[in-house]
Amino acid sequence: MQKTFHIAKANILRHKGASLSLFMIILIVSALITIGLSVMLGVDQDFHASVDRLHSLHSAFVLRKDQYNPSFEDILKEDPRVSQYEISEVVCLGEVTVDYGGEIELRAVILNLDNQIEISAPKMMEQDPSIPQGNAIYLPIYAKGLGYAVGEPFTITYKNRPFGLTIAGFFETNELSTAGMSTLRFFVPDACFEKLKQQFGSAVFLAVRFLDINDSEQFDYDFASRIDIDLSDFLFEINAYWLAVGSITPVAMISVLLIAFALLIALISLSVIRFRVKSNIEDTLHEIGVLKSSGYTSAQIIACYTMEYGILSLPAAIIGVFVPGPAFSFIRQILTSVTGSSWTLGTNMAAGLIAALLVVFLLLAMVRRSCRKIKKLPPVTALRGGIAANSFRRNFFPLHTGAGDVQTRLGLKSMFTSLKSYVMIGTVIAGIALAITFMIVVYQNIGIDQMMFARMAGLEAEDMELRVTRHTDADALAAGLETMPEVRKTLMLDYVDLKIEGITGMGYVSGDFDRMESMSAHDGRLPKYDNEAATSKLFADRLGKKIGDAIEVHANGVTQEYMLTGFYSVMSNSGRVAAITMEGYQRLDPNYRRRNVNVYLNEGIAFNDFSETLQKKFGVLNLYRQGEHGEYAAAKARAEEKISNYLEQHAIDSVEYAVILRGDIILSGSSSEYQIERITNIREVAKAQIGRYSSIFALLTQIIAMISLIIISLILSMTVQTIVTRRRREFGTLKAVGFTTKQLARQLAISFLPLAAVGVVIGCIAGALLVNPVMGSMLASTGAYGAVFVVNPLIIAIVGGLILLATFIVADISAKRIKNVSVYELLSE
Amino acid sequence: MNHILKTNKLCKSFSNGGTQLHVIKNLDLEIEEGAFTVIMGSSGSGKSTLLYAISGMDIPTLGEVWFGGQNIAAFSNDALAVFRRKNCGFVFQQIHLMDNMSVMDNVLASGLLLTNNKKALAKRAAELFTRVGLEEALWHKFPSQLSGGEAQRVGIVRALINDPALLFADEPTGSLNSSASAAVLDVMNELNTGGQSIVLVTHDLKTAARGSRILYLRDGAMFGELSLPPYAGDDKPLRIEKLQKFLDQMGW
Repeated sequence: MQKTFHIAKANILRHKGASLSLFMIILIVSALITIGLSVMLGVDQDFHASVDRLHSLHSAFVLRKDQYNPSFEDILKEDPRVSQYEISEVVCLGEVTVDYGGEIELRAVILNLDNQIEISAPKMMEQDPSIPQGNAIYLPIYAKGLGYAVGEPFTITYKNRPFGLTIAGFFETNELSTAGMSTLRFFVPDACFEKLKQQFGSAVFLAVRFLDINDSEQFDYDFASRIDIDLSDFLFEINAYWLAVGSITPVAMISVLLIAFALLIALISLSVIRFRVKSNIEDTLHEIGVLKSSGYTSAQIIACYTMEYGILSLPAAIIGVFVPGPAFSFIRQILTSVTGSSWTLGTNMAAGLIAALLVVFLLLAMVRRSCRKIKKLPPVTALRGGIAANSFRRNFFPLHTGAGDVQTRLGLKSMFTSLKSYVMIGTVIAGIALAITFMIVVYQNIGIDQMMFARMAGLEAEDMELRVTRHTDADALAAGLETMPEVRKTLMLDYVDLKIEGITGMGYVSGDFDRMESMSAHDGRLPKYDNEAATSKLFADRLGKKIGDAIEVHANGVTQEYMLTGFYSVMSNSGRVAAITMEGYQRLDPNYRRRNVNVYLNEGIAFNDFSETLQKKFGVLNLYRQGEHGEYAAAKARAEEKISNYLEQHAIDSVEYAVILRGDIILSGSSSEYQIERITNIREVAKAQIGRYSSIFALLTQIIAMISLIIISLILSMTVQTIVTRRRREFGTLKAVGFTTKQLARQLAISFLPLAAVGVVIGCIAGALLVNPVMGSMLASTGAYGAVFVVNPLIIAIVGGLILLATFIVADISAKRIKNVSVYELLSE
Repeated sequence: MNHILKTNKLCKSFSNGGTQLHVIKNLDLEIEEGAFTVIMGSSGSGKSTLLYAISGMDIPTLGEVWFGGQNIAAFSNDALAVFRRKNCGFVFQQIHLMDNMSVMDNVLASGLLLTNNKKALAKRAAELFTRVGLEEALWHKFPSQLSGGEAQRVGIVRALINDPALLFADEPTGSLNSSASAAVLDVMNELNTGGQSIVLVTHDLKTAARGSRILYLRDGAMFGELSLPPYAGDDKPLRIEKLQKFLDQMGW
C-alpha cells in the first residue's frame, strides 16, 4: 500500500501541470454541482422558512375609509382559517411612477414605521436614523440591488406630482418588493406618514395570515362576499404569498441550468481523464514492464493509477463542496435581486458531498476501465515499450503536393496521426460550445432585448399605451392617430380587475385580438364572440379547466359564464388572467367604454418625441416630463393633477380652468382640450417587470462563459502537455532540423483546429436546437407557454468563431512550453 | 585548410540535484572545412555533449562557438533554429524519422523551411535518394516499413536536403548491423570526397577509421589528435591499426 502510494505520488509530481489542471477541473465540477443542488433543494424550504421567520403577509385588503366597518374585524376573528390579522392605516397610491429598475407605474402601499405591527414587521438590514424623519423612506432590500443606497433621494410621482423622499434604510421582506409584483410596500416614519396622509388621504389595510396557506385564495373570495363589497371596489386586494411564490420560479430554473452545466463539465472531465490515463499508460509502458518484472501484479499497478487519480480527485471534490460556502453571501444577494425575497440559503453539505463522492467514484471507475490494457500486457512486451502499433496506411497531406504552407500541412498531419486525442478535444469543445450557445441564445432573448422576451412571454408589446380622458372617444382618437405618419397602427387592449372562478385576476379586454402582434393563443384561439374567454394554461390547470369548459367571471357586481376557447402565454399575475372581447366584457359592465389606445410607432420614432407631439396635438394630462422643473412647470403639473382628480371624482366630461401664479394667469382653457390622461412607455414596463430575468440570465451567461473558458484552458493545456510528452522526440527532431518553438507551437495549435471546428459546429447547432425545448418547458412553469427563442445565426457564428479563436490561442500558448527544452534534452529523453 | 567552426574556452555543465557536473571544460577546438572530423572518447567523456554544443543544438554554459564570423553561443533558441536549418545537417543514432510521415515527407519537412518550391525540392530529394542508393519504391513508404540501414540513409538525405555547410553525425551506425553500417559510412565518405565537411561522434573503431581527423576527448577536454589520409576504401586495415595504436596511447 505504501509503495503504491509512493508510486502514485511520484506520478503526480512528475506531471505537476496536468495534475493541477485535473485538480482544478474536478474542483470546479464539484463546486458547480454543490451550488446547483444547494439552491435547487434549498430554495423552497428556505423561502418557507423566511415566510415564517419574517412572519410574512399572506393576504391583504386595502379599503377606503368610508368602506371600512368595524364588524369586518369580527369576520376575521371568527374565521377558523385565519391565524392572525392586523388592521392598520396606510397611504395607498394607485398608479405612482417610480424609478424601480426603469420608470414604471405601479401601486404603492406606504405604512407607518412607528405603528407597531406584527404581520410582516419591517426587519431593517441597513438604516441611517440621522435622515430627517419628515421625508425619510425605507425600501425593500431588493431596491438596493437596483442601485439605491441609504441617503439617496427616492422620488414617488403621483399624478404627475413628484414627491421627493430620502432613503433612510432597507428592510428584509419577501413580498410586495419587486416591480413584477405590481404593488410595492414602503415604510415611512410617523412625521413623513402624517405629511403623506394630509396630501393623499389614508386607507385601511387588513393584513391576514392563515393556518394553511392553501386556504388563502378561497378566503379572499369568501371575505369579499361576506363584507358585501365587490372586489372591484377595494382599493386593492392582493394575495401576497402566491405572488412571492411565483417570484422564486426563476431561481429553480437557474439551479437546474447550473446542475446541467456541471454535469456537462463532469462528462467532459471523464472523457479527458480517460484520454489522459490511456496516454499515461502508453508513455510509461517501460516502467510498467519494470514493475511487472520485479513482481508487481497487474492489480497493484492498476491500484497505483487509481490511487494517483484518487489522491487528486478526492481532495479536489471535497474542497469543491466547501468552496461555494463564502460565495453564498453573493449568491443570496443575487437571489434577492431576482426574487425580492431575503434568503438564508447556504451550502447543502450532505448533497454536495454525496454528489462529489459520486463524481469521484465515476472518475475512478473510468480510470480502472482505462487501465484494462495493463492486465493483458506481459512484462517483456511492456519492457520493449509495447507492440509497435503504427499502422499508417495513408500519408495524409503529403508535403510535395497540395496547397498550404509546411506549418499547416504538418499540423494537419499530426491531427490524423493522433486522431483519437483530437476527437476527444473536439468532443470537449462541442460540449463547451453547446453550453455557451445555449446561454448566449437565452441571454440574447432575455438579457439584451427585454421586448423580445416580453413578446415571447405573451405581452402585446406595442410602443405606448395611451389612457384617454373620460370625455374622449377612444375609437375616434385611435382613428386620428392612425392617420399620423409616426404611427404604424393602433389597437385596443384594456386591463380590468375581475374574478375568475372566484379568484382575483386581471381581464384583458379587446376588440382587436385578431390584430395582436405577439399576444396569441399557443393552444386553441383567443376569443372572438361575447361568450368566449381565454386564459393561461397555468391557471386553467389549477382550475382544472380545459378548452371548451365554461368559466365564471365576475366584475361590476355581475357574474357571467364564458366558454374557454384557448390558452395564451402570460407571465404576470401568476397567470390569473382572462382575455375577453369588448362585447364580452360589456355583458359584465354594459356602460364600459374603451379607455386605452395602444400605439405602434414606425421605425425610428422616439417615444419622448412622439409624446411631445401628442401633448401638442391632443393634450396629455399626466405627461411625465423628464428634467422639467421650475416654478411654472410645478404649477402647471399641480393644476393638471387637480383637473384630472376633479374629472375622475365627479365623472364629468370637462371643466374650464385658469391657473394664477402671483396674480398672473399662466395657464387657462378647458379640460376638454386634453384627450389623453396618461402615456405609458411599454418598453419601460417590460424592462422593470422582466428585468429580474434579464439580469440573472446575463450573470449566468457570463459565469458559464467564464467557467467554459477556464475549462477549455485547463483541458487544452493538459492535453497539449500530454501530446508534447508523447511527441517529445518528434518535436526534438523538428527543432534539430531548424523549426523554431513558435513554428512548432503554431503547428500544434493548427492541428487542433479542424476537429475543434467540427466540435464548435456540432455544439453550436445542438445548443441552438436545445434552447427552445429546454427553456420552453422551464418557462411553462411561469405561465409563458409556447415560448419561442429566436436564434440569430450570425451571433452564433460569431460565438463559434470566438470559441475556435480561444482554442487556437490557448493551444498556441500552452504549446510554447517546449520553448525552454533544448533539442538535446528533447532527443535524449 | 580553413576552419569552418571554432570554439573558444567552451564549457558545458549540467546541474544534477544541486551538484554541478562539468562535462566540457574550457575546450578550444577548430573544425576544418572539408574535413571528416571524428570525435572519440570513452563513455561519459562528453563527446555527444560537445557535438550538440558546437552544432547549436544546445546552448553552452560558457565560452564561444564561432561559425561564419558569428558567435552562435550567444544566439537565442529561435536564432539557433534558423542557424541549424541554414548551415547544419544532423544524422542521429536513433535516426529519429517521424513515424507519421512518409520517407519523402520526412525529408521535405526540413527542406520546406528554406524554400516553398515543392517541385524543385522534391527533385533534389529524389537526386539525394538516388545518391545514397535508396530505391524509388521506398520514397513514399513510412519509416516503419524500412530496414535500419534504409532508414538511416533517409536520415542522411534529410540532413543534406538544405545543402548544409556542416554535417553532424552522432553514432550514425550505432543501431545498425555491420553491412548497413558499412553502406551508411560509404555514403558519408563519398559525401566528404565531394567536399562535405563532417563531424562525427562515435566509439566504434571501424566507424572512426573512416575519418581524416580523429579527436580524442577525456573528461571534457581535448586529450589527443590523430590525422589520417583521406579514406580510399582499400586502406581499412592500415587505418584501423593506426587508430588502434592512437587509442591505446590515449588509454581507451
